Amino acid sequence: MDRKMRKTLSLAKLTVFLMAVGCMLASCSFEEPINANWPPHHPWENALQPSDSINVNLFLDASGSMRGFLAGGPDDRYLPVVEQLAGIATTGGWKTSQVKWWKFGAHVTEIPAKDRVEVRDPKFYSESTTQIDEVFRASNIKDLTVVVTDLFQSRADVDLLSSRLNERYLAGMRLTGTAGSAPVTPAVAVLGIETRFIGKVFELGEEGGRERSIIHNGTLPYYILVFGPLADVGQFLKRIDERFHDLLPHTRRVLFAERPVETLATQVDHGSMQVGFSFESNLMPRSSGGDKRVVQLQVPSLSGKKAEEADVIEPLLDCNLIHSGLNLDEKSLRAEVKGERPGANGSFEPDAGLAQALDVQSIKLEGNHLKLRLKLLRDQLRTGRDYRFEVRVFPTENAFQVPQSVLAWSLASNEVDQLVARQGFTPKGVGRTLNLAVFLQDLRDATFNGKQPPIGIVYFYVKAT
Amino acid sequence: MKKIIIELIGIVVLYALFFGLIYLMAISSQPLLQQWNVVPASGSGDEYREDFRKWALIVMAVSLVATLAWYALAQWAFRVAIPVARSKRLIWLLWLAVTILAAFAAVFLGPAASVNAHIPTLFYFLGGAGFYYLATVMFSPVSYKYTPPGASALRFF
Amino acid sequence: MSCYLIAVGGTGAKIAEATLHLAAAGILPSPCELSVLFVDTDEGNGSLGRAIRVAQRYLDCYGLFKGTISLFNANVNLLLRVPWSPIGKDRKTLRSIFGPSKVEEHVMRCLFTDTDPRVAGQPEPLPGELELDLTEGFRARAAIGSAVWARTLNWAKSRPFEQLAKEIKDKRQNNNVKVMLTGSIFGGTGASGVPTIARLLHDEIGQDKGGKNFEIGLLPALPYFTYGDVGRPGEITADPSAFLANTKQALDYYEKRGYLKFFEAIYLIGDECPAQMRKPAVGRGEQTNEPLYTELMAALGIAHFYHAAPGEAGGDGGKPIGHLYLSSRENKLKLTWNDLPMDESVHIAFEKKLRQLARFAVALRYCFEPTITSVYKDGAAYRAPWYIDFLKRKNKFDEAENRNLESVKLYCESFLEWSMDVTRPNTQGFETRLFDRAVFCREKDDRRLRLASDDEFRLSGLEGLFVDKQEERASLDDIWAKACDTKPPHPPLDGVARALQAIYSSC
Repeated sequence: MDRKMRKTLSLAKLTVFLMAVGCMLASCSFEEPINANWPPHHPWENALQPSDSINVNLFLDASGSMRGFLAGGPDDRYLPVVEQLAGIATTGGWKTSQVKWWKFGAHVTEIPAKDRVEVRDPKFYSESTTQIDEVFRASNIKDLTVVVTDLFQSRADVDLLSSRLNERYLAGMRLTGTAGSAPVTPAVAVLGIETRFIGKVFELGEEGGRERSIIHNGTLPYYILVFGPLADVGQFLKRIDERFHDLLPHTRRVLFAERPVETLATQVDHGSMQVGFSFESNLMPRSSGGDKRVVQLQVPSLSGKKAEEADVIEPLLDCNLIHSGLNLDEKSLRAEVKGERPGANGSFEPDAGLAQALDVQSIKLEGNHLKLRLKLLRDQLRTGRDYRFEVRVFPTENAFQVPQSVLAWSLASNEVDQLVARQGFTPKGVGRTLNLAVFLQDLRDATFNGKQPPIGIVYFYVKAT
Repeated sequence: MKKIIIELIGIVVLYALFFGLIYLMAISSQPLLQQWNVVPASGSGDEYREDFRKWALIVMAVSLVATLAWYALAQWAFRVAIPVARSKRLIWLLWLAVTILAAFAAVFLGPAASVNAHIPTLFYFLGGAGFYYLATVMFSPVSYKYTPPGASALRFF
Repeated sequence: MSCYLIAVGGTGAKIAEATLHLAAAGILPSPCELSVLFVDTDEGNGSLGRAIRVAQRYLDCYGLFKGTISLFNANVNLLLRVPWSPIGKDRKTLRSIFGPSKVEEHVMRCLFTDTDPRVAGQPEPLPGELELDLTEGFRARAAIGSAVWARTLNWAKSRPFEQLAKEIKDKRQNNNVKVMLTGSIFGGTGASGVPTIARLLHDEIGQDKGGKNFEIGLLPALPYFTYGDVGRPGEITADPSAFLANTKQALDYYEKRGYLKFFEAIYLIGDECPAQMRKPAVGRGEQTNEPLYTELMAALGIAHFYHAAPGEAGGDGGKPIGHLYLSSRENKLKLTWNDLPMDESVHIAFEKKLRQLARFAVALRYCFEPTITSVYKDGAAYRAPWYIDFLKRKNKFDEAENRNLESVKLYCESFLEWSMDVTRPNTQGFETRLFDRAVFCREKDDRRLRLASDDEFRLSGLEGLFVDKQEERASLDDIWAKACDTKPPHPPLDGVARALQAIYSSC
């Protein structure tokens, strides 16, 4: 063979070798991740933002039972607060706010600004009935509605009030579906402030066809109900706290809103690593834009792995619950897993059977973090496929409860205690205290029953190799 | 002089190919390590591949240094002995051993894989020693062009 | 081109040796067929023996390359393996040559001396010219030689000359034939034999067909060496003091007898500073006069004659007009590369070829041949890439090729030994600035030169081989690298010749 042929042959050998390497590399490439129907972002991923401009309607209960709150004195926390409510509304951090005072009793009447000093006048409190419906007629759910009342209500009134609140402010998710939610979450806050009271306590039930009442000289809580958009309600309460620093020991507060978290976490820490699979960052289609809600996993087949080397994942995500004043039973947290597999047209399709592939072993709330422990059953996945899982953590209906300290807010007056006790008033009986508890429970039920508001959503993109 | 420049450029080009392979293995948007299911023993896949990249570059650098050292010795230090000694192949083997040592270091000090660990291991050894072999076979100075074993069959220029 | 070289006597043999080295360097015309005939009565002459040895080694080397490269590119042919002698063993004195005729005896006694009884202190009288043993040469006595030549040289009956004439007549029909005669003009054999043979050739061939395609050249060497007492008192020996006088007489003789008229070219060579021979001897093997640089000059003159276009050397359309070529050097006591007598047009090329041969000889002798031998015996061919490229790939190196390699090595040693002597100054203060002998040569205790051993060469290296040629410095590493980088031409030679060709081209 002459030199030229030898050179040609060597070049040919080199070319074949390089082509073989290229083919080998090319053959190992996997198909482009599926590029379609990526889960939309939940509205609660956005932080709560107070409205830019707000209409604040302050409704003052003008019934006679309120007169006792005009006691004055060093323990007076009624007038100093009520008179400041308009100012709080004006300087609450909204860009613009329009505040209106309303007097409600049998009717709702706007109080002109020049007449607002009348709230100090006992004659102001001369209404014999309170038509709560009037309040709801005059207010808009987008407005901030503040009602100052003693909450002396009959059971019927309690039902009416709680049903109105339920309809307008708390039904939301129940109406749109457990997974859906309104862009703006309404909320109902109940702020009880204990103040000096000298006057009659009503609504203690009927006796001999007449409504019982007693003279009480002591302290009694009055209530500020705030309802409207959750962010604005929270803003208002925060302004009250800022304005009245020493009010805290004398208040009870609960906030009812179907949104339990400040924001849903948009970033997941995949947590500790377990042997057997790897967390990746480039498995998802580029169009997903690097969604940090997603934990990307590459999970090889089980061959060669020991049985005890489970594919356990412990993601960690932020979970800042709203300070609602309600008690949360962590054991009542649940998780729902949805699995999706690739469909025919390149998008993911739900697969009910896939939920079993991802087993939620534990859910823990540690401070401001939600820690999950999940087990991925690799043998239920087909090699060479991509899968998508959604794990939604939510409280059960009974997870949030009104604290007993709020429900059984004791009256400072021994006489009322004794009276209540003598009459056999119990939580099951009739009475104001009972009604408050019933009212609050109604609100709690309206807020949480039939709903699964998420406190954390984690997505998994799994590549089974 | 021209030939020296061409040979050195050839060596650099070859090691650019090596770097290209490292890129394909660990840096590209679809890393081969991931495609071949090399699963790290700890840390995320990205962290593993980042560490792998560093160690692979170390192996590459050591291999390149060994190649250049061999080249420099063969081009400027070795002298024709009468009769010709066999020691040059020993020196070539010595530098090969250096690249293999670097590969061992990468295997034991670099990131560990729990699945398919043989792939990065093979890459370290075949890459470091393989490119040293290829570079010396193809670009050793002419006076020692057949010192690498098998060079007489592979080198045609 | 058919070239003939008739080398007469010891000086002729030394000039022929130098010519063979030039042929090996590729300085003779290409293609060229060079036929050499040695003529000497002294068969055992050391210089003659060395020249014949060189010729035989050249022939062994030519067989490898067959003129495919400039190295050994002349097709050399020895007309006789032994020198032709006008006398035989049974007729080795004047008396025996001329026979028992009383008339001739009387005439001879008038012309030549008989046994001379006048030397005192000798137990027996020393033989005179009539009883001189002519097998040791004519002792620088041209008169003796002339008588012998005239008596014994018979064109028709002398085998080499008969063959020579026939050959030349055949060849001149298609080619130009050039015949160069060379020998010393101050000695015995050369001074007497050269004109005699030349006249015969001219009469036999030169007159035929108007002398077309036939040219005769003459290179008589004038005195260029001298020596001391040969150590045989009273015996008839060549007397260096008589050289100049003999030369004058010889030239006078040539001119008067019309010998100069039928030579196309005459190259005269001599030296103002004659070299001092180390060991003078009467004849036979003892007379091994070492090569001198003057013979290199003479050989370059012969090369010039062979290269000259027909008629250019001296003829004008076939009519010889006679050109006289003189060689000289710039500095009386210094010989440099520029002093080598060559045409300007070929000076650089021929110089380079000579240097290439020298470098090749050193490199082969001290590096490449030992390497080939080592690899052949012990393996590990990777140590010498050129070995794989030229001796293993589509080729073979076996015992037969090993013998070929040995032949080339022997020639290289011959060349180096010749170079050692040629570049050795034999005159006080003289400097030969051609090769640095220290690279490959050492002096023995008796002032004789020997080739350096491998260890000695290793210390000196190859780079300084040529004096005053810094631009051509090349180390063994450079040659080695070039040999490793050389590709065999197409079609390649077979066997060891392929490797030698590559090594030569790298030098």
